[in-house]
Amino acid sequence: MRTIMKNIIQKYLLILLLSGSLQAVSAQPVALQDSLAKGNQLYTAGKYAEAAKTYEAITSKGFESFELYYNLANALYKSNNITYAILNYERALKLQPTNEDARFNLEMTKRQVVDNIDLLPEPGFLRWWHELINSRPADSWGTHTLVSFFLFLIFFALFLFSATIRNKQLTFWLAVLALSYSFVTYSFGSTQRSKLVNHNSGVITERSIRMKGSPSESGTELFILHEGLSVQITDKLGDWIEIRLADGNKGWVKESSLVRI
Amino acid sequence: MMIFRKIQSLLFILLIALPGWAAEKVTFTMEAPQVVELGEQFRLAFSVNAKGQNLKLPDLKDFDVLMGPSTSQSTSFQLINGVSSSQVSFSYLYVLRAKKEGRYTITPGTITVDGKDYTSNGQTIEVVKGSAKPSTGGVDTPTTTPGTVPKSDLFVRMNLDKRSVHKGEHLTATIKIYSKVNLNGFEDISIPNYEGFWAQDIPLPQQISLQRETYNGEIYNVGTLKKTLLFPQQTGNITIGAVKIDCIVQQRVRKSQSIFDDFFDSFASVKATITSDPVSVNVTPLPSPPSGFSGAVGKFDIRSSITAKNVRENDAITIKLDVTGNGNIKLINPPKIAFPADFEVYDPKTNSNFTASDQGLNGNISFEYLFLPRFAGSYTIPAVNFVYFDTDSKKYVTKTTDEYQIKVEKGDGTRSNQVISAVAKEDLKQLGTDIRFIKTGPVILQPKGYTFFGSFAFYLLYLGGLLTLLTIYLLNQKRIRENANVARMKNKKASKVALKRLKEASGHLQSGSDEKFYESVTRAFWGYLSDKLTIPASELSREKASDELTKHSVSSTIVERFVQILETCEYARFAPDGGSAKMHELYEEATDVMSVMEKEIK
Repeated sequence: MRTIMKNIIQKYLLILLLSGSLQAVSAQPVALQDSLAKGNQLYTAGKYAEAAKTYEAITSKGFESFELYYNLANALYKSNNITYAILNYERALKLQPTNEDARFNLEMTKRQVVDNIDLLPEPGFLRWWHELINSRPADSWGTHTLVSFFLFLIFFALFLFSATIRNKQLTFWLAVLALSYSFVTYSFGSTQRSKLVNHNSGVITERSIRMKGSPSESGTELFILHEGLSVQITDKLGDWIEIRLADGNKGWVKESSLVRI
Repeated sequence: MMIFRKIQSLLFILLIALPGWAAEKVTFTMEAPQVVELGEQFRLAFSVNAKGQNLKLPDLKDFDVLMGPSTSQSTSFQLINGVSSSQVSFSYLYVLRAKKEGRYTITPGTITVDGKDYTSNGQTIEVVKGSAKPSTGGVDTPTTTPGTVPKSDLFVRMNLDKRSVHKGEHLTATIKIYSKVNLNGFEDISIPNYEGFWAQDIPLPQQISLQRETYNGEIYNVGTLKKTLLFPQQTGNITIGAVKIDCIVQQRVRKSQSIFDDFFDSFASVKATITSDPVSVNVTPLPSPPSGFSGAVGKFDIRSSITAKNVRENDAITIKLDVTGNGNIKLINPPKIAFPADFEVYDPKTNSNFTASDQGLNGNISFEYLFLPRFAGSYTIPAVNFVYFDTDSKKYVTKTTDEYQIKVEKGDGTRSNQVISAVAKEDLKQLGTDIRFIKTGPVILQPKGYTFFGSFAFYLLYLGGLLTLLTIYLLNQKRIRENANVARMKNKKASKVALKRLKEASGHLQSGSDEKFYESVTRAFWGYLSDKLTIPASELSREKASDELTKHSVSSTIVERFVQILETCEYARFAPDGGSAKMHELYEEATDVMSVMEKEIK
């Protein structure tokens, strides 16, 4: 009787775990995989513009993956579309923030951007903190928080069932540790997820625009920005958005002059 | 008189030597001016360098034959280092006069020499309307003041065969002097430097020979001073500067009324400076060149050769590219060969060989590429694409050479060790920068913006974990409770079971099976204690049992009696000696102890 119940619980958990990935896998038609392979072939054959079109057709159907954005960006770079190459490298890096190849290629591509902006110096520990959060995508942190939560449950169970005082003390502290790790990684995960969902950064796609001091045409002109520059989006008012440059400067531009990453 | 003199000399020569005529190639030529004026006397001469017979001369009905044919003969004799050679030439001379204006063709004449027929060349003679000059051999009256030469009588022109060319396409510039006067020589010829061109002179005979040509309907003696091939190096309208020549002209001067004047003309040398008009050329740029354009314009062919295909490390190989054709050969850049990166390649050696003619620059240019494969392996030297601009089709043409496969074997160690002592470490050679290649592995496409984190399933897993823990906890609690019940039940049943077993023992007692009796008694006690004290039967021993009983506040006398019974049973089981009375006694004792124990155990 007990074993039957255990079996049911196990099956239930397994279904829960798989449902996330199953949902994604079952939703992608075979045709998209085929056109992805076709895009790769075109790229290898040196037909970059056609390859880029093939990849773009997949993204326009509402699907994404790190590899798709990365390959698309490569094809755009090779067909001399630097701005959109940067946009797609940034998108790829959002899905896999630490991918070395994408970072390298983005670096290469950014050399061809007109504007040279010095990064705002960040205190050491803060930079370290951001790098730590950025070191994994949302789902990876999600796995961390879930696994550590289950560890907490196991330690808590052991705490309940252990007979001696020593064992109870040990399992109690282990449970506390696992639970706090779960909380921290949960917050990391939600930060990463919000970046992905909120699209609060963008790449300027107009050849040259003027950044204004206020959200209107009559606003004071602050800077001239050129295409290919990555910016943070901090506010929105009508069809104007407030952007923040990497050197900390802020200003308003028309929303149509950039594409959100 | 001249003929007489010639015959004289002939006789003289014949007297000196009469060797057989050297067997030389027979040439039979016709000579006549190209242009004559109407009414002018001119010579038509046929010459042959052997004695011939049966001379057939062309029909000369368009001309008045004033004299001829008169025959003359000349012989030259040479003795060099004891080897004698001689030349003979016969000429047949006419003096003609044109009847009408127009172009007339004099058909070739034929002659038979040693039984073979030879044909001369033909010639076209243009007859133009004469100038007002008296054609008779009277005294020339200078029309101009002495010391000057009119421009219409002496001038220089620069002729270009093309006025519009592509950059790099050749054109011919000819400097010609036109004269009606008696030219005695040139003092100074200054030729413009052909700025914006690469210039190559076409060789001309050392002696400038004047020929009759018409220009604007008038006959001039024309001399070609210089012919130059020009290859434009820049585009646009290029102007070539003027030619300036200082000429010395002999002019007849009429002095005052001396009676000798009519017989002896006196001449004076007059210096005349003539300059040509500057000319300009329109140079159009080439259409945008494809990659690999070598700068060659014209018509070319390329061949390549290699000295060796199977070599050892550090052996030198030479690839030779031979470009042959017509065009700006000298200006061709060495085509680039994409050698494998770690080959040691030297700068190509260029060798050119060409001749300039009216048709342009003909010849070939060769490029020798010396290289050393440094490491063993199989290499491919790709085909060379030689791109040139074809001036005929006005298109770029690509010629391709062969591709070479080179096999490099490991050096035998002797040579390479001398060259590179120890292993020469090399820095990685960066050939270029490029972005990294695309990802081609399997890909999981997800709907945009989808993350497992924060999804329903994600939170469900939390809930699942919590529920699992709760379930396990509750199940455990239940088990503990149930276990407690089982113990109580066993406790309750303990004495019943024990009594049952004792009854069994009494049965054995009556049937007289001793061994079974003792066994039943022992089992009754052990089973009773196991259930009563909730200790597994396997863990029970006599010491443990007595300890446990003492713990459960059983009096020490009962414990002692209990131990005594067990000892008796064990002893009797292995050494049965007592009679049934003793067994009876033990039975009584066992039931007694059991009932006391039942009361005392708490």
